[in-house]
Amino acid sequence: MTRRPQSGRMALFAVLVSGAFLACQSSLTEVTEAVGPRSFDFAVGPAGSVLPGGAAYRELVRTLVQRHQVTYEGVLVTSDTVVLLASTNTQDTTATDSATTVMVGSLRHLSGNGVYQVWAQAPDGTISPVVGRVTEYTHVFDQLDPITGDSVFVADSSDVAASGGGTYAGSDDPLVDSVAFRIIPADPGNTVNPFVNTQVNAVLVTIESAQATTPSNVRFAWRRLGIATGGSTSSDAVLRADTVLLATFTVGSVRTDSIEVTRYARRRLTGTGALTFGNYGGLDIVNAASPNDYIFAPRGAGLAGARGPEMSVDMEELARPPVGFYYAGYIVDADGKGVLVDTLRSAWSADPTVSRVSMYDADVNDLLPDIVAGEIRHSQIRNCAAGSGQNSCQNTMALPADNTFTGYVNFQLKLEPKGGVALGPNKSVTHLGPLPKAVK
Amino acid sequence: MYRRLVVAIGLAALVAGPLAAQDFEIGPRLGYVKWKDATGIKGAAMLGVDAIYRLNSHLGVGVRFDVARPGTDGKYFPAQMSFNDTTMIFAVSQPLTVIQYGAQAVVETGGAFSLFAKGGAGARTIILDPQAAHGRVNVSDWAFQAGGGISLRAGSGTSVKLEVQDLIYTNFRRADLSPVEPRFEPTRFPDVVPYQPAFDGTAHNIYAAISFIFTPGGGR
Repeated sequence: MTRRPQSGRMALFAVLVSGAFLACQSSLTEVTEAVGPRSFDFAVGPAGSVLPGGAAYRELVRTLVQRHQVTYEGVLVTSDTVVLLASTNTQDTTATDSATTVMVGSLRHLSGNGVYQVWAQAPDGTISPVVGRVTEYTHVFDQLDPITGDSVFVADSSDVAASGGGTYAGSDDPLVDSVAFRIIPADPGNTVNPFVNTQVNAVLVTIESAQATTPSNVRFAWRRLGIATGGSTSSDAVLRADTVLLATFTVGSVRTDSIEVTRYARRRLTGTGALTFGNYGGLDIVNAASPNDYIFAPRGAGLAGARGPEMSVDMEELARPPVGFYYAGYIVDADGKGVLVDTLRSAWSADPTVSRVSMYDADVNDLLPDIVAGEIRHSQIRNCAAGSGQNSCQNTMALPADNTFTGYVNFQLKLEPKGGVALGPNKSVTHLGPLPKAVK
Repeated sequence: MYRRLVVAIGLAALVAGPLAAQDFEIGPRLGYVKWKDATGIKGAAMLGVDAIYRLNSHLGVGVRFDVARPGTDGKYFPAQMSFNDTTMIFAVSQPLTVIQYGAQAVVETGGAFSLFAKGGAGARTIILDPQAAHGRVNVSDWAFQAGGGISLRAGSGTSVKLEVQDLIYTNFRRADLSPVEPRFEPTRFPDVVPYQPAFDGTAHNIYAAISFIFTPGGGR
């Protein structure tokens, strides 16, 4: 009987100890704990003013449009007058295509032997390479006129491929504005010139691994000339109605037995103009704007955040890149120098098989995540400064881990050619967003 | 919750049969529960009490009741809040009250030092923090236990038991414990807090405890 009180006290002691232990536990209140640094957010919207593009046009110099030759039969001389007695008065007209030009801009440098090449498609579907001279046009500098104070644009040009060439490797020199593929029949070596004596339905620019005789499927810039205005032959004796007069000049000579006057007229075919950027849909002899074409235009928008050493940009409803291109993001400083953040990836997902999948092949692969009807519904560009050790981040951005974005002013989403070397920003920019002051 | 409690007590009464004081054991129990990580519940002390009717020196049946006050692990419940052009990520945790009750059976070798095994079935109720849940919210479902240990007799009516149990929670959904409304779930920095896959299923939780057994009738 004496044991019962002992065991009862023991049980009571155990209950008290247990209760005290239970009651003294921590975390008995709701806790909201901040994780990591805050994100300074900014919007990213369409830009697109420096997409690959340009113009295709055809210049014709119709020589001897009107040649008038008078041959003297005799001379009648009076006291104050000399009269030329004309016996014949001949006149003829010939025309020659002097040059056809395809001007293209914002072409990034291509790696290896990769080149841009220009082609002409005839109404029968034949595609022929354009062989000719390639000239780079360089924006040397802007300067202020010391007298007027106006900004003066100074340009220069140089041939990067002589006649007989026809390819261009592109340039990452920010001073290079555009490049002209110019076909001058008089140049030696231009034996293959589809623009001469042939009707042309379209001109297109492609990316090739090397100078090619048939075009690749990366047909990213084109201009449909149409049947009505696409062709002209050098044997046309009469100027076509679809040309516009650019300039005229006259050259004359007086010989002992004749006077010869030659009028030159420089005319340009109408119906030519700006190149379209996207995917060329192939021959269409009916439509000037073919439904087979995919015309790229920057679309969609995003919300970005600079969070400590991390840059994360969520994009919505981006247009799919043209075949042969992919999206990449840069942050750019005030001098125009940029640092690659990352290439586009699919948005984060709890399903690891579709989370942050590379969208490098979004131009051709319909099975990548969130690709629906020509657009990328949700995507992301994200990276962190190298060495910052951020969770689930690649941590490969070439920036310091501290004050990561100091000195950088904006974010650029760009289209890069797949054959290209990612050397810098500012070309083919599709979307732009200014970094917030708090992180600059 | 109450339906399961009534069922558990009824089962215990059914198996206990006519009670005699010397056949009845009661003992408070103090232990520590390591809940399965995926449940989002941090380990915590659990206070319980066993009431066992001994059918003979080797077999007993009875009821149990346990209570614990663990907290949730904030990394399983991240939240995103944006203020104008600033976004912050939070890990949100909350205190819980876990109550567990049911019938159980014990088999032991007998003697001053004995080994025993025990198992049971019942229910658990997890009561969310009213502040976090914006009201009185609890989640109940079946709970099972299986385990064993050693029993050291300290006297004719007293013993100390050291035991380890597997507390088995079926149909457990971690999302039921989330204090974060869907509109605040992170979308922009979803894995700043390491992403934890959703958990929905059976959770095995380890419980180690010490019991102080008291026999009102002085024991057999």
